[in-house]
Amino acid sequence: MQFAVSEFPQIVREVVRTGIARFDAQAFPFLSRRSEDAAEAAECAADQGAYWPYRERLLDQEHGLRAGADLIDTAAGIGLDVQVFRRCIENDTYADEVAAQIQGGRDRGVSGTPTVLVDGRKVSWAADTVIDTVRRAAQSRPVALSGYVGDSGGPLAGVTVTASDGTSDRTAPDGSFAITLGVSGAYLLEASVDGCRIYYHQLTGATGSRNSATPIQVSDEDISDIRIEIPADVCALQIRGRLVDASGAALADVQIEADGNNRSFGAARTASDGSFAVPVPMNDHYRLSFWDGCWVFRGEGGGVTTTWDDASLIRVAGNDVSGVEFRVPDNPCG
Amino acid sequence: MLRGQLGDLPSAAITIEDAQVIVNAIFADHFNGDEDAPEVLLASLPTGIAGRSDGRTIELDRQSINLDTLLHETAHAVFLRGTDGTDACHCPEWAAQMLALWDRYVVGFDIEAARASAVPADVSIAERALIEPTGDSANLGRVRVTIADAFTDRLDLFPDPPSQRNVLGYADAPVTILEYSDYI
Repeated sequence: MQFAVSEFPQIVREVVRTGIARFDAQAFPFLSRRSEDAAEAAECAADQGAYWPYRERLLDQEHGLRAGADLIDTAAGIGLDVQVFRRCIENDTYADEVAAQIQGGRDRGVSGTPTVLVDGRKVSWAADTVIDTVRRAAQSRPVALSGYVGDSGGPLAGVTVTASDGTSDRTAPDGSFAITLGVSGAYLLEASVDGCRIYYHQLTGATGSRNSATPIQVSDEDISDIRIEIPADVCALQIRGRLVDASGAALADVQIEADGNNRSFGAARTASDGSFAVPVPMNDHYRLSFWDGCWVFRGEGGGVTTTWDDASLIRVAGNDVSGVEFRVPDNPCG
Repeated sequence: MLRGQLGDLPSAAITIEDAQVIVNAIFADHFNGDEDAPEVLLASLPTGIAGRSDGRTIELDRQSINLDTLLHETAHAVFLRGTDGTDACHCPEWAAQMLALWDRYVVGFDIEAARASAVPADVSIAERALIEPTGDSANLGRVRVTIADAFTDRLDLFPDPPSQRNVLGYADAPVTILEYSDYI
């Protein structure tokens, strides 16, 4: 909200009007059903060429959605054809489009609003930062970052390597990857190996902790000698258990994620019997969670909580952890 | 020639350093490194002459260090170097080259209006520029950023950007800002 009022106009004035950047507004409603309805309504307004005035009106502090504005009345207030607009809303015309925008955001690592990405790279939404990043991006030559991913058995194929701006590539059969970066700066490189996340480390080849990763400084020169070689003790352990509902029935095909205190991460999907085996990159304390419209964490005693701080910690120290029950009540997100 | 038609655009004073940045980027944009950019020089030129170019240098009179003189002379230089010409001409091909530079680098420039305004003045303009850019977005960005800098105090002179549904801005803008927002 504050972004739209205080930052957006300056960004438009300095880099959109001047032809340096295009501004692509994507919906990421996650706070309520009402904000999702508003996102769909904005698409309906776009059908009548009025996306921007409608968005501006909805975001208005005094008269907008937060102040209780009605979606139809707002459309009428800017002179839209109300019948056409109402039909568009009632037919859920843009439900799929908004869902696709939300998924696109998740794929880019968006977890809250406002989030701003410049050429795919997340930046602070402060106007000065966005403008500065845009101007640097406009003058940068794309830089190629390439290298190799492997372990003691040789090259690893099909591994997704992602730079911290979200650009990624999958390794070829010889373990090679190549990423093109648009803006100079310091980048972390992460790779997901069968759900276990690792990071490039200059000395050890790879580390399971994001906190320990070695940033790669990218300027104008291509970099071609990055070697992500996974030590034997990285991604060697698992947390095993079962995901069930309140009656004890298996919950199949759900992605279970393990977040470690040292920003280590692993993920796996449950099997048809609800069992899971989440690979974890290192010894650490992990929280288990899955997405069900909100993040549902395994709480103390095998129950659930939707609060990070209340999640129970599973200690992994040199051995696999097994027998973890994750029992989910009906409607965990309320 | 054509300055009268382009006179509606805001005139921007630039520094000689920025002029060189612009010329370097325009040459890189058009010749992909195959042609060195002309050197931009300050000069004291005869009365009535704002600038001149032989393709290897661009001279700007001390009273005329501005964007329109620079693009006028840069069009001569691009045309001469791209065609192996030796004499700068105010010919239809050069006019088309200059309009193409304005169209690519100066946001909001209305090339169709400029062409139309040339008709009653009996100015001939070739259908299209002979030397076209190679499309390196970084060079396009360099010129646009430098031009925006020249207009820092008068950015509102730029026209409202076009919009296509939920995307605001010019289709050829070299950078994309994605913003994820909620309405609550």
